Amino acid sequence: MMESIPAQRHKLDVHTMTSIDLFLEEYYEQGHTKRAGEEMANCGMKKSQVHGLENLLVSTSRFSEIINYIKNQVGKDRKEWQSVGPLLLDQLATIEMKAHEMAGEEPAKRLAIKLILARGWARQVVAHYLYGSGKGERR
Amino acid sequence: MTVNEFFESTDFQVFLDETLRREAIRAAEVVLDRGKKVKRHQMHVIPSVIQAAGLDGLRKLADRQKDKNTRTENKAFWTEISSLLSSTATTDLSLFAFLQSFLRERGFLDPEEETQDKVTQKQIRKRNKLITEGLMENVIGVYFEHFNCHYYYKTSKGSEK
Repeated sequence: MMESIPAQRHKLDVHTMTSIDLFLEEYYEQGHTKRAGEEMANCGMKKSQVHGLENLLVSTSRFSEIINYIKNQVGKDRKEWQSVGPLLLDQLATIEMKAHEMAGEEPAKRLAIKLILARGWARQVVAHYLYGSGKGERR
Repeated sequence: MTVNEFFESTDFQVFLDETLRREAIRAAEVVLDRGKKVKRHQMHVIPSVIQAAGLDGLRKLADRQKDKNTRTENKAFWTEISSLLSSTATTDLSLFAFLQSFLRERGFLDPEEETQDKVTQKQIRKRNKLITEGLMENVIGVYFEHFNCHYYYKTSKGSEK
């Protein structure tokens, strides 16, 4: 079977990197990632489940692997994933659309942007999740 | 670009990540729309068979399962999978036809109709089939990752939200 080529090998220019940062900042300010993180905490998702997603995001070279991971977890009929999975998939779909918009007709660039955006998104979601689940523990 | 160069290219990564995913999702939806819903464990074996025995192994499994299974829905499901893997006709469930059309659009296949000679036509057809089977062997693992995960998702309670 073919080994996948890490998409992140594609070097992105400063302008694109700035656009990525700006998008992630806006996305954060609009409260999307806060909502996702809080829902993950509220539905009682375990830290190990969140770290599983986080680890995949760091190690994968294919954006669709992240989507498939979430679909697979929801498909196992685990109630935590069922409650938050569709929201996460919606947010990843937005990220993918944004990557298409930013990269235009450059496929290598698109793959790299998608992964960078997804990792930035996950950092925000996990931070909110940890904060949200910590609140519960502190009470 | 040759087919082998394509396998090493970013275009191939995009193909796996986007084009193949769209097609696998479409195929999973077709199977589901036809009401051939099976339990998750029926499909668990697919990735490991691909890992161990490749496309040929999966074809054998699908054929065996469709003949063996007594439950109507399992039999119907494996009949669809068998057709998806083995049919070369342009139907809504033929991975071969989908890949061949992709390769043709990209100019990786020689056009059969350019020659009138039957023997040459046959040789071209055989060569094109080999190239398509080669691509199929290369992508089958990722294809079923997309297919299975989407199938699991759509048949779970969570996807209705």
